[in-house]
Amino acid sequence: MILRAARSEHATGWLFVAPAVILIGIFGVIPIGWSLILSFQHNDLLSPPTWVGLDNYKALKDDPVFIDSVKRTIVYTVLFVPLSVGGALVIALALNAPLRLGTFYRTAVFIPVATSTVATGIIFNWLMEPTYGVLNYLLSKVGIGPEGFFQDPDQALYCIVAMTVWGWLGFNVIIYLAALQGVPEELLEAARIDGCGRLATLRHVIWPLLGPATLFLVVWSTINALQVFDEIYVTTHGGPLHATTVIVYYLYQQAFEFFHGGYGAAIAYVLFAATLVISLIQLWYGSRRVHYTS
Amino acid sequence: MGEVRFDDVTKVFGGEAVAVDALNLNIADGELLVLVGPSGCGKTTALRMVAGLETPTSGSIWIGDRMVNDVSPANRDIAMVFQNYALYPHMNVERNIGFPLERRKVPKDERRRRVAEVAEMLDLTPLLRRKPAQLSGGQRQRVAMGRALSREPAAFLLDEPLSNLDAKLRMELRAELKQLHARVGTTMIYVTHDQVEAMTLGDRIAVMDHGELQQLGRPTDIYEQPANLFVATFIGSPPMNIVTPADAGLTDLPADVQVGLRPEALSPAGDDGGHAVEIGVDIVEPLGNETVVHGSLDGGGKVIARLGPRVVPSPGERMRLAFDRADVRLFDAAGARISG
Amino acid sequence: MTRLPFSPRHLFLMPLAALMLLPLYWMVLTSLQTLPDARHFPPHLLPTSITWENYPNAWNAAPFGRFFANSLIVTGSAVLGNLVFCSLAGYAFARLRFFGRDVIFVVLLATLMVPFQVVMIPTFLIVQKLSLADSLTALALPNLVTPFGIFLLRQFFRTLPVELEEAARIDGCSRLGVLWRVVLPLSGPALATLAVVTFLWTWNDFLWPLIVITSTDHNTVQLGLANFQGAHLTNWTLLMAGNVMSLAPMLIVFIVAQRFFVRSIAASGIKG
Repeated sequence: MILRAARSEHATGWLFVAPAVILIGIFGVIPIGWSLILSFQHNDLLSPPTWVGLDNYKALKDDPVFIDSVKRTIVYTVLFVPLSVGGALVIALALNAPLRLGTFYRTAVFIPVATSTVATGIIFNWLMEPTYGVLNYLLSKVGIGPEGFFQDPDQALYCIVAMTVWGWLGFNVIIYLAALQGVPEELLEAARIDGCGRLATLRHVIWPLLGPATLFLVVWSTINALQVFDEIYVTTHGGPLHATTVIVYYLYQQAFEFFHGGYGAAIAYVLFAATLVISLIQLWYGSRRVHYTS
Repeated sequence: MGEVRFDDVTKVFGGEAVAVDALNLNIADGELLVLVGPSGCGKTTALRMVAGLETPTSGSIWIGDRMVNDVSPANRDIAMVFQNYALYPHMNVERNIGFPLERRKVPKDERRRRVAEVAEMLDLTPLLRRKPAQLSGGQRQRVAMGRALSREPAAFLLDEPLSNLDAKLRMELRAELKQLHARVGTTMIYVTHDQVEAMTLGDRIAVMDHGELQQLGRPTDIYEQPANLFVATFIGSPPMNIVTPADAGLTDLPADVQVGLRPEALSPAGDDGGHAVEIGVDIVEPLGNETVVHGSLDGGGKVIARLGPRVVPSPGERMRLAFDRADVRLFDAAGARISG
Repeated sequence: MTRLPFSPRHLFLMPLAALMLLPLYWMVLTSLQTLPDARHFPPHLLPTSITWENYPNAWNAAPFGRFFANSLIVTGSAVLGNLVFCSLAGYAFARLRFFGRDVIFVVLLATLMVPFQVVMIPTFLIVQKLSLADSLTALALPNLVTPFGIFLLRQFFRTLPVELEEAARIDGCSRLGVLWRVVLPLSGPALATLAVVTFLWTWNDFLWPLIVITSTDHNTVQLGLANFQGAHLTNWTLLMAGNVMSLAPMLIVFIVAQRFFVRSIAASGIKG
C-alpha cells in the first residue's frame, strides 16, 4: 500500500517534470553538447560536417579580427558596467525619498526598460544622425562641432555604450530601489544617533547593506555586456571599419553570414568559458566582501 | 548634567493626530524613569523627541542645562537602545560597540580599551569577533546596550528593549539592567507597555494615556494611591476591581461613584458583619502560593480576588469577600480620584 | 546651507528625467512631421505642424499587423507554456520525491549558465532537421519552458505551508488537484512575475528570430522593425512612425501597470 503510494509519487513526479525535461533537453541540454562537438568540426550548416579536432580553436588564437573583437568587447564591458550600475545607485539614492513628482521621475527612469533593443537602436540612429540628427544640433549650440557618432570609427563604440546604458539604467534602478527599501529605518536612526551624517551613513550603513544587490547587478551586467549584439546589429552592423564588431557580432557573422558553423561554435564556447570564469571570480570576490543579513 | 526636562511639550502628527499633549516632566540626574502606558499613549514619541528623532510641535526639551530642540541627535549626548536592537549587520560586535567612538574620532587604542571595558561589563568578551546574525536575542540586546554604554552619554534612552525576548530572558535581562543602572549611575529613560517591567525597574514611573501624563511617582506610591481610574486599573495584575457602591454595600456613597478594590484586599468573610462583597464563584485558579478566584456580582460585573492557598471554593458556590474600608479607592464618574 | 524652496534632488532628477525621455519624445515628434520638416536644419524642437500621414504609410509599407499577430502568438505561447510547465515542474521539484529529482534540477539550472550564443547554432540545426525553419513554432518551442521559471516557482512553492496541501490530500485531492486548487491560487505574485518577465523577454527577443525567420510573413515585431529600417533607411519620419507603432503596446501597458512591472522585476532580480 505504501509502496504503491511511493511508486505513484515517483510516477507523478516524472509526469510533472516531463514536459520541462523534454523541452529543455531538446533545446537546452542537447544543443550545449552539440555545440561543443560543432566546435571541433568544419560545418557549413548545410552539407555533412568534417572533423577537424582543435583546428578551430587554434585558428581563433591567431585570428586578428577575433582578437580585436575581444578587445572591443572588453572596452565596452569596462565602460558599461560601472556606468550602468554606479549610475543606477546614484539615481536610486536620489529617488529613495518622498518627493513631489516622485512618480513622474520614477516612470521617466523606468520607461526605457520597456523599449526593445531594436527600437532603441533605431531611435538612436536618428538622434545621432550626423547631418539631420538633433544631438549634433544641440551640441552645436554649445560650440561642439558636428560629430560622426555611429559613423565615426573612433566614436561608434562609445555611442553604443551610451545607448545601452540608457536602455538598462532603469532595470538596475529598480533593483537598487527595492534593496534600499529593505534597509530598516531603525538602523538609519541608530546611525544618526551614533554621529553619522548623510555621507557617513551612506558609506558605513547603506552601502554595505546594498552588497548583495550590487554583486548581483555587477555579475548580471557583465554577462550581458559580454554578449551585446542586438543594438549593434541595428545601428552599426559591426562597423564602421569593424569598430563595433564585438565577440557575438563576429560570431553571428561567422556562423550565419559566412556559414562557418564550427568556427562560430568555437567562438561561442570561448565566450562561454570566459564569461564563466569572470563571473566566478566576481562571485568569489563578492562572497568575501559582501554581507548578507540573515 | 543628566537631567532631562519636558517643558510643556506637544507633538502633533499630520496636523491632526495628537501624540503627546502638553507634557511636563522632570527627570532627575541618575534616575531610572519608566514611561509606561498602552500602545499609542505617546510614550515612544516622547522618548524619540528626547533623542531628536522627532521634533516637538511646541514646547521645549532640555538635557542638562541645554535646550536641545534644534540640536541634532548626534550632539545631544544621549544614547539609544532600540526595540529591534538596530545592530549594524555587517560589523562584528567589537565594531558595533565602538562605532559611536569611531564617529567621534576617538583614537584607536582608546577605542579598543573602552570597548573591551564595556564588553567585560556585559559578558560579551568572547563574542567580540562575531557578527549580529550569529548571536542570540539576549546577546544582541547586550551588544545594543554596549553600544550605548561606550558613549558614556548623559542619558540612556531605551525603547521597549526587552519586548522581543521570551519571558525567561526578559526577567534575566531586567535584573541585569537594574544592576547596570546601579553600577553606572547614568540617567535612564525606559519606555515599555509592560507594567510589571515598569514597577520592577523604575525609580519613578510616568503613566501615560492618549498623549497625556496620568501620574508620576514611585512605584509603590502609584500602586497604593492611583490618581485616577486609568492608573488604578492599568497598574497591578490582576487589575483592580471596580464595583458599584451597591455591590460593596457602601450605601453612604452616591450611586455614580466607582469603588476600587485590589484583588489582594479581599479575603473570605467571617461572621463579624464588616464590609463585604458577595459573588458567585466562576473560576478557581489554585496557584500553589495563592488562589485566584474569579467571580460574578449579582448586579453584573466581575471580581477577581487573591486568597490564601488553603482557601479553595468550588465554582458555582456563593462567597462573601470581606475588605477593609481603608483599602477602598474611590473614583468619580469621570474617573478622577476622590477621597473617602 | 542655503535653503531652497524645493528639495535639491530635483536639480539632479529633472535633467535626468529629460535625458531619459528625450529620445522617446524625439521619436514621437519626428513621427508626426513630414520628411522635409524633419530634415529641416535647424530642427524644430517643438512641433510646428502635425501630420498623421506617416502612420498609415508605415502600416502599409510593411505588414505591421502581421508582425503584431506573430509576436502575440509566439509571446502568448511562451507565457502560457511557462505558466503551465514551470508550475508542474516547479511543484514536482518542490514537493514530490522521485528518482533523480535533485540531479535533474541541478542539470536544468546549469543550463541557465550557458549563454544563448552557445546553443543558438545547434538549435538552428535542430529546427532545420525538424523542418520547422522559418516558422512561428520554431520561435515558440525553445521558449515554452525556462529553467529560470522553474527555479522561481520552486522557490516560491517552498515558502507555502505544507499543511494546506496535506489537508487537501487527506480530503481526497490528487497531486494535480492540490496544485490546481490549493497551490496555484496562493501563488499569484510569483506567477505574475513569471508572466511579466517571460512576456518582456520574449516580446523583445531579436537574435533568435533573426536566425530562424526568413520570410517577412513570419516576422515578429522586432525583426519586422529591423527589416523595416533596412528598407527605409533615410525615411526618418516613416521609420519613427513604425517605431512608435511597435513600441506603443509595450509602453502603454508599462505606464499603466508600472507598479506591477516594477515589483515583478524587483522580485525576479532579488531572487536571482
